[in-house]
Amino acid sequence: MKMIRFRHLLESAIIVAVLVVWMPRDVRAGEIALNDLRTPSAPGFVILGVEPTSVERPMTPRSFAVSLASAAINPDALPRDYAIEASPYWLMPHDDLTYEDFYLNNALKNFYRNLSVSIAISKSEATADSLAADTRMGFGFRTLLFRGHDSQKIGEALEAMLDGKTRAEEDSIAREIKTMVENRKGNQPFGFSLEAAGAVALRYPGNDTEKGRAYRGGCWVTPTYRSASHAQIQYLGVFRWLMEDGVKPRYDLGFRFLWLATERLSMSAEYISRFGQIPDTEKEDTYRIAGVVDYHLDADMYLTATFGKNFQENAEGRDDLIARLGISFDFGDKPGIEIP
Amino acid sequence: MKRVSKQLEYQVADSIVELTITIGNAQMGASRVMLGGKVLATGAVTEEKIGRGSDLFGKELAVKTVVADVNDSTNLTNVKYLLTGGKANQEFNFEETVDQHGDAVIYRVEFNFKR
Repeated sequence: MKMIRFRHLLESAIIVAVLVVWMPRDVRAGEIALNDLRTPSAPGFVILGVEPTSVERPMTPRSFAVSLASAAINPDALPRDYAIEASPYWLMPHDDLTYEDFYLNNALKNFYRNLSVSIAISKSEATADSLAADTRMGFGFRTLLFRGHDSQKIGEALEAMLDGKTRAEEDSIAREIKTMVENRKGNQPFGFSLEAAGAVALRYPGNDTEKGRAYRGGCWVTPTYRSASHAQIQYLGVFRWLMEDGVKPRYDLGFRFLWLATERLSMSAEYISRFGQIPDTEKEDTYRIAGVVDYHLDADMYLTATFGKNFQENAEGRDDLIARLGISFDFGDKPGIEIP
Repeated sequence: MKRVSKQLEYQVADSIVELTITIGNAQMGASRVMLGGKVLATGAVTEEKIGRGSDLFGKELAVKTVVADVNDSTNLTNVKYLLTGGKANQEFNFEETVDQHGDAVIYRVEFNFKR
């Protein structure tokens, strides 16, 4: 029994050590995860560099108003990190909006229909070493201007459900549909899609509103393309702009090519050019080039090998070699692409 | 999985009765329309001709609509049945909120045609 417990402890310790060693430096430092090619899901939180412990996601106008009112009336009662995210358009029902109309790919309509706003507040206490208390706020938005289209599998399953003769048959198809919908969430839609996001962070030193100023801002534009006939291949681009107090604005322009070789194995290559001054140097412009191999070990576990050259990020100069092998756990949307 | 069943009446006249089904809230769905055991339409149903009022009197129109919650932003599903060509145009609305994203709802509606 003791042996089993010891082995379990040893395994846990190894996993924790692997996670700490391979976790990206920017995540550990609580900074903005700039190296991720994806658009942040809640830019208002990302721009602050905080990961709120709980996020309020009101689904009705009433709950949205209650949440904002409670934050405004009694700010002292708020937790240190407060965050709220909502899609204004979907706070009301849309009984006449059909699936076909929603997928028409009209950029203007898509802008407000897919808009989600995120607001985060982070408070820090005064400390003994003379750091004054301050409050930081992040405001962000994210939207999908073009959303591609779904695979036809769900539609076919729904038509099969129409043929269902018994409750058991219908329930079985409903379970299949649910699995397809869940898988679709982390997968890239077919065709062209375009995401855009922006955010700004404000700081109020000493919690004084008159001293408030914007100290960080950014925007992200992410086009992707996935052909229905070659679903194993996905093209992904990124443009992002970041400004921060004391640092010249920085632009990133990048591209990723992803190939799902088998159901478990995917390979990708990415190149990102970064335009702007490298901190603490006179030098400008740097780039990242990397090849990534992901092997799907288990439901939410991935073995990832990355090799390449990272951005030069400081005055110490030499190009950062990327050579990593690690296990990553995915507790959110499932990455990768689904074969239709 | 949630199921909704309703029996309704619709007053016919002499003109042709048409049925339009709208599945809202950007959810994905399909319908099957049957008259006296015969399938009239499957899939999306728009201005589907059911028959002349005088021929429909006393008959039953059975409609099965299945809706899957594919919209990340809401768990609300709704179906709107619009019948025209009778004594008056009439709209019948049903809605159901699913427990979890990806769940499906089956709506079964039977229309009895009356004079």
